[in-house]
Amino acid sequence: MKGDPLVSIVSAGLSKFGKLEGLYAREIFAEAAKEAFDRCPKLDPKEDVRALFVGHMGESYEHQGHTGATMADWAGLLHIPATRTEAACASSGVALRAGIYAVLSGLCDVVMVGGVEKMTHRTTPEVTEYLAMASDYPFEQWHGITFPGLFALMATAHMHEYGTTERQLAMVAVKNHHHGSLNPKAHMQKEIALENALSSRAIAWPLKLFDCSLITDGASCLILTKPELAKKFTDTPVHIVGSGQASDTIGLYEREVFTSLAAAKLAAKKAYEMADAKPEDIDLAEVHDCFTIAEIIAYEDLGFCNPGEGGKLVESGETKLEGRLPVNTSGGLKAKGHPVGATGTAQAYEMYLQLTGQADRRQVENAETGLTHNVGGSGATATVHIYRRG
Amino acid sequence: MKQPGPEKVIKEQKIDEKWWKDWERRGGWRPEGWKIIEINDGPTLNDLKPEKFLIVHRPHGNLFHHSYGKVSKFFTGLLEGKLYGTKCPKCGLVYCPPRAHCFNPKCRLAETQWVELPKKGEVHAHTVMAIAWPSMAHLQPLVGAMIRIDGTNTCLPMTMRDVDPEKVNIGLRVNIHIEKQPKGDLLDVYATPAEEPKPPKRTPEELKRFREDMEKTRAWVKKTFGAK
Repeated sequence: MKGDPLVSIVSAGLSKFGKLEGLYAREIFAEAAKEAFDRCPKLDPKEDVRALFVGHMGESYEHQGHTGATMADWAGLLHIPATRTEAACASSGVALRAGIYAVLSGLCDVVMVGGVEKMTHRTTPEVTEYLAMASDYPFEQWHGITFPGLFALMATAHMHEYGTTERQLAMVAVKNHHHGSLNPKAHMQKEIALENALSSRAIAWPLKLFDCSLITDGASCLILTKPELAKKFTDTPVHIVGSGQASDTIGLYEREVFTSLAAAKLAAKKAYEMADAKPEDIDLAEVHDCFTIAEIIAYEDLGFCNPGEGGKLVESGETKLEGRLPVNTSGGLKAKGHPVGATGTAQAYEMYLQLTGQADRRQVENAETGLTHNVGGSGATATVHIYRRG
Repeated sequence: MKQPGPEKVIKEQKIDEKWWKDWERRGGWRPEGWKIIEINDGPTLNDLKPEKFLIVHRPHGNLFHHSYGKVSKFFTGLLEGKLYGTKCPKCGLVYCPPRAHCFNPKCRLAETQWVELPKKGEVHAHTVMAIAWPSMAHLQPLVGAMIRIDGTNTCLPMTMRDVDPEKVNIGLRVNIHIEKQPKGDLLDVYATPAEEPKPPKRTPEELKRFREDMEKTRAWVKKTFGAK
């Protein structure tokens, strides 16, 4: 992998993920920002941080919009320019892109990018309804297709086309729960058995309760700077060497195939080109496993295996922590949790820990390069980033 | 000079606004109840300390007035029992759901033309919803499917009736129906099998689990909403 660094991550923060009863989103974001500041004593938040880009999907959850300024306010970053980015579950993947634009343009030397969502205080049907806003309004939402429903449609198409099985789907959940059990900030820090996953309640067949990510509260953030300034702040930066983003039809109904996400493939192609890298060069990845089928499709879209072989890849064990290409060492959206706006930069936070050797019980030995894959909605937005140890 | 308005009402199904107005006035969104809770809070599970919070229960809701925009004809079509799509005069793509402008970049957003569609099609992908929206929860387990209407290039999402959920398969030919008393949204459209369904391949273990899943869902619906 020869690509030049675009920007460098010099610090990162993550709140506890879970059911954070009683707290406001802004308070959770402040917790993540505090960790990023504590990790980087050489950073002067007031003097150094020149802009904030924060991903946030839904003002409906707390009846609170105007998220950019709200988060800057609570992170003690007044009066910097503060911008909210919204791309459903890819909101903070897009915030990360915006931060890269800001640094690469030369307009800002140091920026904070992040994301936040507070969801668990609403009922499951309410959350389902708010999440459905990321699908097409008149033609998908009013048929009653929920997000599990959309991914279930992809799952049946994948099963029909390639013979992918419910057992293989459940294996994704078992693997990610194992990883989550090693992450002290994960929402679900417990192992699950394959049989329990398979016999859990149907949500949208073939997806069952354990095929679905969690409704979670949480926040994440990163401090980005120009590569040439990185050493001013830390001896152990992580460089971002590739960045891709693409879009697709808002409705799943207009896609030619349901078994792959065109936006994710295009974003990956761009990121690999920029990083001058191939899928074989990646040591570990965090992929958008909002549903187990999404992780299987991600393997294929990212070139970790051929189309249709995603089910076999998880079965082979190669994507486990001790495997050839560990995927979702944080527990993924599945076990770490999926506070939608926070997910993109939470994936980057895991990459930061892994590539600086701070991932503790889930550390991947000698990890040099990593990839994150963040998808919005049913794939109308995707961002892919590639990282290298500094 | 010609002006955009005022609007002329062509036809109307009035709503009873009184029940909404009454609800809206009652309490005026002030809390109806509250609780003080104590819960452990902290950055990780290893680092928790008790905190107290006040939680209020505030009624919230709205009556959502919205237009179907330039694809309104599709929905007025449903009110008249007809199915419409749109066709691009340049590239010939036929859309259902309709688009007012062709999304093929070569056509540079050419305006499409309305075409009436046959009420026949084919299952392109399917699922069985066991957690649906609150307003549809009583219909579970609900078969949701992407249906490619004959002569179109995209899929119209709809629910299916008169079919055993375990027998729905990709490629199944369907008849499309519109409710006798349509309300003006996509739930007015549904599909039924037009041929004997050929169930997808499942192992005996998978079939057993599928049936158990459906039973659990039906039991939940019965418990929550009473017998159908």
